[in-house]
Amino acid sequence: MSFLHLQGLVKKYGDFTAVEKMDISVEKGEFLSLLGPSGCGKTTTLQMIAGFTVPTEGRIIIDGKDVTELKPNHRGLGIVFQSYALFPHMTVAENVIFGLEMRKVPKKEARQRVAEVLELVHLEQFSQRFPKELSGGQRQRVALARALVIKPNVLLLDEPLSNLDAKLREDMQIELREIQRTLATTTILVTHDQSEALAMSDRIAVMDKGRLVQIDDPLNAYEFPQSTFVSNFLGKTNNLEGTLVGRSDGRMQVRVGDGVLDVRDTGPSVDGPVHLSIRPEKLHFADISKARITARIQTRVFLGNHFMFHLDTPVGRLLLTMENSGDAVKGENEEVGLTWNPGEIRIVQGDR
Amino acid sequence: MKTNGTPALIFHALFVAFILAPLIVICLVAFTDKGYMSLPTDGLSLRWFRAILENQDFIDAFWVSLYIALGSATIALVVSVPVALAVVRYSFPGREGLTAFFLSPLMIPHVVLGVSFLRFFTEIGFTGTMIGLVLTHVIIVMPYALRLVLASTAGLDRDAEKAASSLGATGWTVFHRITVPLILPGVAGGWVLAFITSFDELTMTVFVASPSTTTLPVRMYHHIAQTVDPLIASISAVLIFVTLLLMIVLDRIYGLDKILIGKG
Amino acid sequence: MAGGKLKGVLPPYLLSAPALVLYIALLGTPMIMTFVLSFHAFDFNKGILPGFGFSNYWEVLSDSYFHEIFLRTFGLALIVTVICVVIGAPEAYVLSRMKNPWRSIFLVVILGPLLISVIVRTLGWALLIGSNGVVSKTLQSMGLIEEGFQLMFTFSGMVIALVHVLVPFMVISVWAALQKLDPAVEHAGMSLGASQFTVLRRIVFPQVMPGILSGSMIVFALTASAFATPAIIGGRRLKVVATTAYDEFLNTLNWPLGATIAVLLLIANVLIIFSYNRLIERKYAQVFG
Ligand SMILES: Nc1ncnc2c1ncn2[C@@H]1O[C@H](COP(=O)(O)OP(=O)(O)OP(=O)(O)O)[C@@H](O)[C@H]1O
Ligand SMILES: [Mg+2]
Repeated sequence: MSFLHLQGLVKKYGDFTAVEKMDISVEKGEFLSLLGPSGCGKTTTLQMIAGFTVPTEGRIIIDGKDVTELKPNHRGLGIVFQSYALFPHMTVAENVIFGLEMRKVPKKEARQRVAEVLELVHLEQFSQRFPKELSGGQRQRVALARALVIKPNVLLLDEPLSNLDAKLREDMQIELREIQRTLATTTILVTHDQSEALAMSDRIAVMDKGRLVQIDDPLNAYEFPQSTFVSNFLGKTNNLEGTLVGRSDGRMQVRVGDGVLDVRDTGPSVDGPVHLSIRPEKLHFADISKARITARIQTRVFLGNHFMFHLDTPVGRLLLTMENSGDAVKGENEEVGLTWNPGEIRIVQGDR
Repeated sequence: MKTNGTPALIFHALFVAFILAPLIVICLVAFTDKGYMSLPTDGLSLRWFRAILENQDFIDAFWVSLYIALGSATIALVVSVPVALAVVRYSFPGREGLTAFFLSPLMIPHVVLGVSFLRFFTEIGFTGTMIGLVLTHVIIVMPYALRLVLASTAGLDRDAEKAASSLGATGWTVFHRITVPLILPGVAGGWVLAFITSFDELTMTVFVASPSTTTLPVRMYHHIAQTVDPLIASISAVLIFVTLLLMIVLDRIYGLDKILIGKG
Repeated sequence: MAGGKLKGVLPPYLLSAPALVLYIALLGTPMIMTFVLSFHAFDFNKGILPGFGFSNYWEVLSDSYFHEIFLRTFGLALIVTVICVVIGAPEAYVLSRMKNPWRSIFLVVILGPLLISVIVRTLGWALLIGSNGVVSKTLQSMGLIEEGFQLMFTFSGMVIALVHVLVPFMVISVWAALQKLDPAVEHAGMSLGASQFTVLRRIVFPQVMPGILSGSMIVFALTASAFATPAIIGGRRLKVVATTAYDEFLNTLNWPLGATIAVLLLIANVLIIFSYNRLIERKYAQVFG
C-alpha cells in the first residue's frame, strides 16, 4: 500500500482543463518529481495536494486517509514555495518556529527542534536575521527548514531552486537530496528543469498539457521514453519518422528518408508512421567502410567537455555528441561514417 | 549617465523658490515683533506664538479638529480594511462598481458635499454635532485611506498566507499573525494621510460646522476673511512645523513618496 | 503562482457592508436630497416652496451674472491647468534626472506642501502679494509698479496662488508616468542619432502624455471647484462657482439656487473627468495598457 495516492484527479477552470485524470501513487520516503513545460499543470497538481485548490474530480489519499476535503492547515504537509513565501516581518527563528507554535509544541522542545533543523540547513548563525537580510540561497534554506521542522508526512516543493543561479542550484540539489534521504520524508518536487529532475528523483512523472504522459525512474525515463514528447523533454534527442518496410526475427526495417534503419522490434503493432528516437551520444563516428550510413558534418560546436555535431545524412539531420577526449576531432564539411548499436534506437509514440 | 544642464537647474531653482516662498514668508512674519504684518527686521520675537495660547477660540478649534481627524481617520480605516480584502481577494459581480463607488467622493467637489451635508443634517435635525462632523469627514477621507490599503493588500504575498496555513494556522491566526502585520504599514500610512486630510479640510466643513464645532481651518478662514494679522501667521507657522514632523514620521513608517503619490 | 481569486458573492458584500451602509446613508441620501432641492422654487419671504420646476436652472443658465461666474471659473481652471503643465511637467522631468539624495529631497519639498492646509498656503500668497506684501514692495522699489498696486483681489493673484496649490498634482502625475519609462529608451534614441531635444520631443514626451493628461484633469477639476483660495485671494468681487454656492447658502440663504449651482458644478466636474478618462483610454490603452 503506497503512502500518497492521487486518484483520477481533475481540475477544470471553466472549459479549460488544467489537470486531467491524474493517477499517481507515491511510496513512503520516495522522491517524486513532477516534470513538464510551463503551464502543463504542475503547480495546480501540487496546490490540490496541499489543499489550496479544490479538485474538480478525484481523491487525494495520504497514509490511508482521504484528505480531499481537508483544509490545508489540517493536512500536515510541508510546502516550499517558488517565491519562498517567508514571513518578512519575522526573523529566521520566528519563521521556523511558527509551525510548531501552531501545533502547540512546548516552548523548550520547539526551540530545540528549531536549532536542530537550522543546523541541518546550515543556518545556525542566521537565526536572528530577517528574510531581507539573507541571500537567495539562504532564504531558500529557511523556507526548507520551516517546512521540515513540523516533520511533515509529505514535503511539497514548487520549483524551489528556480530563483537561484546555476552554480548554487547544483549545490542545493545535492544538499536537498541528502537532507531528504536523511529524513526519509516523502517528497514531491515540481520542476521544469529536466536535469534537476534526473539528478534528484527516485521517479519522474512527466506531464504534458495537463496529462501524465510517463512515470518512471530517471534512467528508464531517459533511456526508454514512450513518446517523442518525453524523449524531447528529457535531454536532447534525434527524432525520426519513417515507414515500416519489413519485420522479422524481432527486428524491424524502417525507411526514413533515403535510408533504411534496422530497429529492435519492441512488440507493438504498427500502423501509420513509425516514430524513432536515438540519443546524440549513442551515435558514433566510424570509418566510412564500416559505417551504417555516411554523413557530412554541417556544423561543429565546442561545449567544453564535449562537442556537438550537426550532421547531414540520408535519414535527415542528426545530432551527435562526442566526449572531448583530447584526440583529433573531425572538422566541418568532412565526410564521415556513422554507426550505432541498433538496440539504442527506440520506437516511441508520436505526438498527439 | 543622464544629468541636468544648467538651464534645467536654473528652472528647477526658480520652481523650488516658487513652492517654498509663501511658506517661508509665513514663518518669517510669524516672528515679527510688530503689531501688524511685517518681516522681523528688528530681531525675532515670540510674542505672536504666545498670543496663540491666549486665544481660546483657536485652541478650542484645534481640539475640535484633532478629535474629528482622529475619529474620522480611525473609522475610515476600520471600514476600509474589509473592503480592500473583499475587492482584492474575491471576484464577484459588482466588484468594479463597488470600488468606484467607494472612491467616488474624490470626484465630488467639496462645496457640493458641504451643501449636501448641510441640507441633510438640517432635514434630520442633526446640525453641527460632533458625530455628524466626524461622519462627514469619514466620507471625505475614506477614498485616500482605501487607496493605500488597497495598494498594500494587493501587494501582499499570498504565498506567505498559504505557507502559514500549511503550517497549521487557522484562518484567524493567519489573519492576525501574517496578513495584518504585512498590510500594517499601508494601513498606518492610510491612517495618517486620512488624519491630515481631515485636519486640513475647510471647504466642506465650513458649511456644517456650528460655533461649538468650528474646526481650526474654518476658524482661520473666518479670521482671515476679517483681518490678516501676525497671529494667523504664527498659527500657520505652527501648522507648517507640525506637518513637517508628521512627514518625517510618515516617511519612516511607509515612505513619503508612496503616500504623496496616493494623494494625487 | 496561479493567483486565482476567491469565488462567492456573500463574503465580499458582508465585508463591504459597514462601508456601504455609511456611504448610502451619508453620501447617497444627501446627494439625492440636494438634487431634489435644486428643483424647488424659493421665495425670500416664504422660504423653500413645495412645488417642483426648472426655475433655478433657468435662472442660472439665463442670467449673465451667473454666466460671468461660470466663465470666470472655467477660464481660471483652463489658465491654471496650462501653467501647471508648462511648469510642472518639465520640473518632473528635471527631478527624474536628478541623482539621489537630491531627487528624494526635492520630491518631498515639492510634493510635501500637499499635506499643508490650503488655507495656510493661500495665506502665504496673501502675505506675498498683498499691498504690504514682499512681492509688491519689491516691485514698487524697482519702479515696476505704482504705489498701492497689488495682486491681491485680482484674477492674476488667484491664478498664481492656485498654480502653487495645485502644481504638485501635475508633478506627481508626470513623475509617475516617467517612472514607467524604460530608462534605456532615451539611450536607444540617442544611439540612433537623435539629438537630446528630439529624444525629448519624439520619445519622452509621447510616453508621458498620459501622465500630463491625467495631471491636467486633476488640476482642472480641482481648480473649477476650488473654494478657499478664490475666497481669500479673489475676495467678494471675483466670485467663482464654489464661492457663489457658499454665498447662496450661508449669506443669501437661497438654498435651492445654491443647490442648483452645486449640482451644475458636480455635473461639469463629472463630465470633465469622464471625457478626460475616455480620451486617455482611447488614445493610450493600446500602447500602454
Ligand atoms: N485560477 C486559475 N484560473 C484559470 N486558469 C488557471 C488558474 N490557475 C492556473 N490556470 C491555468 O492552468 C494551467 C496550469 O497552470 P499551472 O500553474 O499548474 O502550470 P505550471 O505547470 O505550474 O507552469 P509553470 O511551470 O509555468 O509554473 C495554465 O494554463 C494556467 O493558465
Ligand atoms: Mg508552476
